[in-house]
Formats: sequence, C-alpha cells, structure tokens
Amino acid sequence: MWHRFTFSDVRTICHYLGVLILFSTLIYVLPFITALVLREWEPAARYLSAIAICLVIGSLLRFMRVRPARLNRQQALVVTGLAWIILAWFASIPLFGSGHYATYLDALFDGVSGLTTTGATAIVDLDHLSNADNMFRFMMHLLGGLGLVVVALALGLFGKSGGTTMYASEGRSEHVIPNVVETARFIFRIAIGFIIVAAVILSIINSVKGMVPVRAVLHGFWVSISGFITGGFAPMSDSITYYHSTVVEIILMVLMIMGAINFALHLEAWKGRVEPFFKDFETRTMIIWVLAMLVVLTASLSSSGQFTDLPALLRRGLFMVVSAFTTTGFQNITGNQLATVFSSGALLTLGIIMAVGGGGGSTAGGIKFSRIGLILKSVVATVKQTLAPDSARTVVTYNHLGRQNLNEGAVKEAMTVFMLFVVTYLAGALVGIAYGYPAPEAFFQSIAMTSNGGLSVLVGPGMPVGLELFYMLQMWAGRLEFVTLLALIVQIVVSFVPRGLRKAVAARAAAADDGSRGLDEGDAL
Amino acid sequence: MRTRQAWGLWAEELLAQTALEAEEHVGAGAAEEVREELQIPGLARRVGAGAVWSGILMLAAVALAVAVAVADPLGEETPAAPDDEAPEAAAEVPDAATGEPDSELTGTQEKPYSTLTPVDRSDNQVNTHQQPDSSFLYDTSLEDLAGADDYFEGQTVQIVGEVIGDSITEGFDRDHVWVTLASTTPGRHETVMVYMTAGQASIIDTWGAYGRTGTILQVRGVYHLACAEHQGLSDIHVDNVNRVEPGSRHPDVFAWRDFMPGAVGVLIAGILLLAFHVFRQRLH
Repeated sequence: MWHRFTFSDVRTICHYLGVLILFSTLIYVLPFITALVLREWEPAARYLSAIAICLVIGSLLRFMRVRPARLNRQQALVVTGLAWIILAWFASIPLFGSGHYATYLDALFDGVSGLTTTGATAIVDLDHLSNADNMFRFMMHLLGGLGLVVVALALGLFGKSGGTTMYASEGRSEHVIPNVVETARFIFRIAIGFIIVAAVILSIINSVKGMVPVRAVLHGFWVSISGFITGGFAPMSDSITYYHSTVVEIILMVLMIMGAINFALHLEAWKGRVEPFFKDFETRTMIIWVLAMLVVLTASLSSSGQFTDLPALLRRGLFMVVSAFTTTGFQNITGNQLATVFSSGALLTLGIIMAVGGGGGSTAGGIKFSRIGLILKSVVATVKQTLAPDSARTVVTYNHLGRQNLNEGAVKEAMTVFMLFVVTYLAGALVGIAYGYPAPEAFFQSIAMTSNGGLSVLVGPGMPVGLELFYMLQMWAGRLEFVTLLALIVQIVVSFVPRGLRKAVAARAAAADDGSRGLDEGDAL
Repeated sequence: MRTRQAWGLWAEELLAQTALEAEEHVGAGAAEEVREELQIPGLARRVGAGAVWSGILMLAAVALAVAVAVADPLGEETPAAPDDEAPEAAAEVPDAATGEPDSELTGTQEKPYSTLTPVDRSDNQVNTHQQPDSSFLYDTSLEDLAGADDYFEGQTVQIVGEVIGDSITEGFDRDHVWVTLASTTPGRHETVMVYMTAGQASIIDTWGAYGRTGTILQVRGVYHLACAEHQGLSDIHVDNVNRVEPGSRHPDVFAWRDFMPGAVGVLIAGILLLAFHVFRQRLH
C-alpha cells in the first residue's frame, strides 16, 4: 500500500531541493545590495557568504541526479514539505551571524517564522538591526508568502511534470487559471502590483511625517510586503504603532484584506466582474464574521475601562481584528497592552479570529472561511435531510467561483483539516501550559503559531527550547495545512521501517482479514 | 561577457533539452505541452535579457556603493562638538536646595570632553542631586513602564532612555513629535513612546539605529497606559527633557578580507554550475 522510497527517489528529491535552494539564493541578493549601498560592510560580507553557501550546496545537490526523472506525487510532497524547513535552516545562517539572536535556535525560529509568514520573532534589539538584515526578513516573507513553489512555477523552473502536484502539496487547492504555471504568474503579478503601489504611498506618508527619505522608502516597502503577504514582521519593535498614523493603518488594513482574499476572486475583479466577488460565500462570510467579532472585541475592550472612548475602541479594535483574521500579526497596540489592557476574554476573541483565518487560496492562514462555510453548509444539509421525507433528495448549493453543489468529498476534506487544526491548537496550548504559562496566553500563542497569525504574548528571546521547537513544528504544519506534513512523515517512516517488520505487520493484517472473513461466512451459514 | 543574443541562444538550447527530456520520460504529447507552456522563443529572450540585466544591475549596485562612499544617504546627524553647542542647550539647572543655578554643573571644563563624568560636563542638564518628592514617582525604569499595569496610569514618571528611530509628527501638528526611547540597561531592549514638543526634541543630536547609538535622554512626564488623547496608545506626555549623554556613531569598517570567503564560495559555485551543465550535455 505504501510506496517505500528507493535511493533513486531520494536522488530525484535531492535534485529538486537543490533547484529550490539555488532559486532561493535570490532572496539574499537584495539584502546584499542594500548593505553595499548603505555601507553596512559587515552584513554585506555576511550575505555574500550566505549566497555562496546556498549556491554551493544547491549545486552539489543537483549533482545527485543530473538528469532527473519526472516528479511523482510522493516525491513532490516530500520536496514541498522539506523545502520550508531546509530553506529556513539556510536563512538562519545570516540571521544568527547578525548577533541579534540569543541562541541559534532563536535564529532558526525566525527563519521558520519568516518563510511561513507567521511573523512572530525572537530577535533581540530589533531597533538597531541593520537595513540589510531587515531587508532579508521581508524577503523571507515575500518568498514564503507567495509560496516557494508558486514563484518557482512562475519562472518555469519545474515545467509541467511536477508542477501540478507540487502546487497542490503546498496547500493550494484552487487553480485561479486552469494552467498551473499561468496561475502562479498571475498570483505573482497581483502581489507585486499591490506591494509596489502601497510602498509608494506609504513612503510618501512616512516622508511627510518626518522620517529620513531612505528610511521612509525602506519602511514603506517593508510594511507593504508584510501587509499584503500577511506576514507580520515589522521594521521596528513597536510594530505599526511606531508610525503614529491612522492613514497608514487604514492603508495597511486594505492591503491585509486584499492579501487575505482568494486570488480567484482577484481575477474576477481584474476582469471587471465585481458581482461574483460580492456574491461569493467566502466574501459574505468574511464580512459577517469580521463585523460580529469587531462588536465582541470592542465590547470586551470597553469593559476593561482603559479604552474610554469610541474612536480609541474602533481604531485599536478594528485594526487588531483585521490583523488577526488576515493572520498578519501587525499590532497598533503595545505588547504590554495586549497582555494587560486586553482582558483574557478579548485575548481569546483575537485568538478565535486568528484560528478561523482568512480566505482560501490567499496568503492568509488559519482554517479558512471556505472550510468553515462548507462545514456550516454540511450542517444545513444534514438538518434538511433529517426533516425531508425519505424519498426526497436534498441538494444544498453554495456560490464559490460559480454555483456549486455541496459534495461529500469537499466536506470530508474540510472536516479533516478543521479537526487537524483544532487538535494542533489544543496540543500547543497544553505544551505551553506544561511549561508554566497561563492558560489563556498558552491557547492564544498556540493558535497564533498554527494559524501563522504571529501575534505574540509568549514568544521572545529566552523561550524554553522545547516550546520553541513545538512552535516551529506548528508553524510548519500550519503553512502546509497538515496533510502534506502528515504525508511526509508517513512516507519517511515507511521508507525507514525495516523490511522484515513491514512484512510481519502486513502478514498480521492479512490474517486478521482472513479471520474476519471466516466469521462472516460462518454467520452466513 | 556573453551578449544578450548569446544568452538567449543558450536559454533556448536549455529549454529544448528540457522538452527532449520530457519527451523521453513522459511522451511526445507532454513534451509538446511543455514547449507550449514554457513558450520557448519568448522565454528564451526573457531569460537572455534577464541574465544581462542582472549583471548590469549588480555592477550598477557596486558602482553606486562606491559613489556613495562620500555621501550620507541616511542623513545622519553627527554629534555636535561640545564647543559648537548652542547656549540654550546648556541651560542652567537649579539646585534642589536653594533653587539657584548649580555652579558645579555649568562651569567651564578643562579636561577632554570624553573623560568627563556626566556631572562635570557643561552640557549636562541633569541635576543628579535632585531628590524625589511627593510630586512624582521615584525614578522609574523604562523596563518597569514597558511592563506597566494601570497602577502607573496618570502618574508623573521620570525615565532615562536612548532615542531610536525617527522623529514622527502627530497628524498635521508640526509643533509636537513622537520620540521612541529604548532601554539603556544591558541586555534589555524595551521601548516607550514619548510625546514632546518639537523644541524639546531639538536637543536630540543622534537617532539610534544600526551603527549609531542615540542620544540618551532623561524625560519627565505623565504616563498613560491607554491615552485618551491619542486613541488608546501607551505614552508619556513629556514636561521636561534633559540630555544625559550625546549620541555616537560607530560605522562598519570596510575590510576586503571579510568578503574573501563569500567571493571564493561564489566562484566555486560558478564552477559547479558550469560543470553540471557540461556533465548534463555529455550525458546526451
């Protein structure tokens, strides 16, 4: 039943991992150029070394299979699954060399957080970080958020042979355009377009507000990337609070929402068809959900007594709701306010918003509106079936990129991923509680990690090692939406289980089947 | 250096090879799909152009880096020499007991500036003899405020911190600015936002960032955990600002040998990439 990997499979996987590593070298080039231009010589030397390491190791891996065969599904799953953690390891090398991380594990944590677009950080003294290192953090977001595979497909690195399977294994379920490569290119162009426009506007605003022009442009570019990709890294430790600007917050909210909308709906709007956008059940779910949770959060905040007037409640509350549901992780409140002014109820409300996440087929994380919608539709279908006569055939439809009938396969997939998310949220919370943290904070942080939300109350330098490793696993699993990661784990285990043991297990399973068949025949007689 | 045409031809060859491999492993139909999807002629031109432009951009970046060696792209303000300070910056500090200016603090200095203790420097405006009284909380640390609860709400506090980042205006109000102070305690990096007048902020000579240590300020003002005037932000509305220590610059020193490992590594990688291409060609 399970295909065991041969050495030939391993060689093919290594070849394509090498291609991805070579390709990922691009994210080190812009930080290198930034360091040269701004005369940050130590970071420049460090990023040149990082480029060299990636190029050498990527080239060597390609030699494992000079003429690679076509990627089959299992190989594509392994390449996609391992790519994130391997590229995070490469990313941690220049990060740790910056001297802004207490331990190597903290640098690896930031590498995983950057590539999975979680946005939580264990960095020390962010405000004195070099511009080159800051550029690299946002390049990680750009690569990870657009998807390593999407960008590679957009550039035609894999051709068609492994593209479809790798696209699906990255947790992307919808083909915006029937052709996978064209879908990838469309996503890439949309993202770059939004980022450039927002960067120009934010740079102008930052300059007007008194920032030095170079810093104004860099900050505008960085927060635009982080906003659209729904990453969450910010150039300064005060996050978006640093800019003291309602206009900046509004622009970022629009950017975050754009990033959290299904790219297929972007295509509809691009073609001038706005009606499907508003008729789509994901859009309607998003609007109702955000309004409802805004009411809940503002009510919870007003009971704390600290936010005394409506403008304060709306400004802080709305931004935090948008940041949470898009799983970005930007804050327009201080970390202390999140821990003290926000009651445990408000904190858990934010956590629930992050847990649900944004739209499917977008840069957002979490369970996704489409899955929640399908599950709710399934409940409607069950109730209808219960109430209908036995002879009646009930059909439930929904509007998602066209009129669709609710089918069992889609519901099953939605329920599976939903349960996996919930179990992981609980597991992470229990690990946090085991390390002595209060339960609301442990739950909140576990949800933030798994949904790649990034809002932090527990994450920082000096985290317990076990907790940090578990959070990294949660970020990785959430980015791949579990199925790929589970398939990867099963594939590796199966490949390494000794042949004798596998045969014994198979024989026992066959004997159990025979036994149960014999009982059935006896019953029949 | 290869011309654009040569790069284009090389790319076309590579893609033709890809299609050939697809044909061997997948079948003629799939190979045709690969060719169509990759749009070989157009992509070859783009790859060729991309390679040439990448090279040009890299050279331009290096040339720009050399060109800005004499410029100051970040608009850094160098710390003013003690003799150049405006008279207002060395304001007289009243003695805590008599209310008269403390002559020890405002006298002329004979020793080199860098060897003076903060008390002896003529630009030091802090009265270190001032005792806390009932009008404000004892010297609060920035770390305490960064983790403050509502106990500190509305209290007058006094903290010392390093100025970092930028001066940010509040809306259209040019008379007030936001300044971020960072902790000066070794190993601690908490920050607090302070709201002061543009005049008060004028004593800041350096804004902390990479390669720069910002001016160390002592500020006194009213702390708000969620300021009603600023839509719920945590801040300090400053009454009094004093400069404890001017900022300093410590830029990176350029050394060719730091770049050698990376440069050698890139060279090795280039050889490996070429070797791979040659090896692949020979297998055909």
